[in-house]
Amino acid sequence: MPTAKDLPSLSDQEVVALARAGRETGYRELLRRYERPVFSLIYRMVRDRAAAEDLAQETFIKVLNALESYRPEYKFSSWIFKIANNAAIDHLRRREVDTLSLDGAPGARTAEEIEATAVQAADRGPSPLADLESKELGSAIEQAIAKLRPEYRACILLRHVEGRAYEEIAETLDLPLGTVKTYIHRARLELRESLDHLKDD
Amino acid sequence: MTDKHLEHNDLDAFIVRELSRLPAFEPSRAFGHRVMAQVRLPEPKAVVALRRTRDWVLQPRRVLALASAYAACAVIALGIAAPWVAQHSASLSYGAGLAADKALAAAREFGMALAGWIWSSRPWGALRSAPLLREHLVPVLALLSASYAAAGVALHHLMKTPGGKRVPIARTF
Repeated sequence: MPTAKDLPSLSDQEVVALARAGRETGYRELLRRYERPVFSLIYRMVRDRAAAEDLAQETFIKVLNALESYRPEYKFSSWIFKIANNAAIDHLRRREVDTLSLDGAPGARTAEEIEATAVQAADRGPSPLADLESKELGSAIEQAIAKLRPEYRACILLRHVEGRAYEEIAETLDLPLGTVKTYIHRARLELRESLDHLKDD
Repeated sequence: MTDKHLEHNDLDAFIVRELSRLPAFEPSRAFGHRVMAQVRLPEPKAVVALRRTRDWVLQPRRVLALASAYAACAVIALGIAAPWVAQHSASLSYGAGLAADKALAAAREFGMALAGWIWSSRPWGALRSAPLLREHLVPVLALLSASYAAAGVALHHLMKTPGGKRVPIARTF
């Protein structure tokens, strides 16, 4: 049986096997390995720290309590990122519905009114993180990411921030490989448009 | 390749580089504790098997069936054994008496051997030859009583909870 010292050198599958055998250290190691990537992905998706923390917590509880159903032929990272991404997308959808109802959707009777409400939701102002008045390049990129559609955002974050392979992203997001490549290409085009002004600085 | 293409490629490379440099965010310090508090750690297989057996057995109908089966077995065994015991009572009582006599003799021999060994042992000899005066008697008795009390307290403390710690018992059966 591996000791606590061996844990960092073990593969995800081996750590999962340890956890399944009832070793608490296995659970803690999985948490240690993925808390930052999972939280970062969710945070950049929902752009609200408190909500991101709740969603990351929900993700980990779901994953760690369902380790028995994990199939080792798949990558553990794909599995956890899939659950994290689904949680973030669900949250964004719920928030969208809430905003629609707050912005007057119940009073919208004609097609024009409904369309007007939808426009309001899409044109929602920047979220608290994007509001940071920083001139640093990192912030400009963060704000550009924030403007992307959620599915583009998930693809570009997994590819270029988390360094995942296209195949793994396709597996994680349940999308065909071609669609993933298209989304990443379009996301980069949109980022280029958003950051084009930096070229002149 | 045109200048515009070059510019686009430069910007692309720049974006990809900056994306890969974005920092990882960290959740709050209590995050790990909050998660672990809600994770159900798997129980050892033996415990699961024991609990399942207990749950299976403790259903009222099964308890009744098991108790009835046990009672029937006991009655049948008694029914078979009783006539045989009655038939061989003389030889059985003779055998039991013989066995008891042998056991008593063995115990007596063991007692004698033990007493002889103690009597001839070196510590006993030293104790016998020690100049035990009346003024030594009180401190020796006090020391013995204190040791006995300390042993009692330690035993009580150890038996209260596992390892002598006041910890809640996590699993109840």
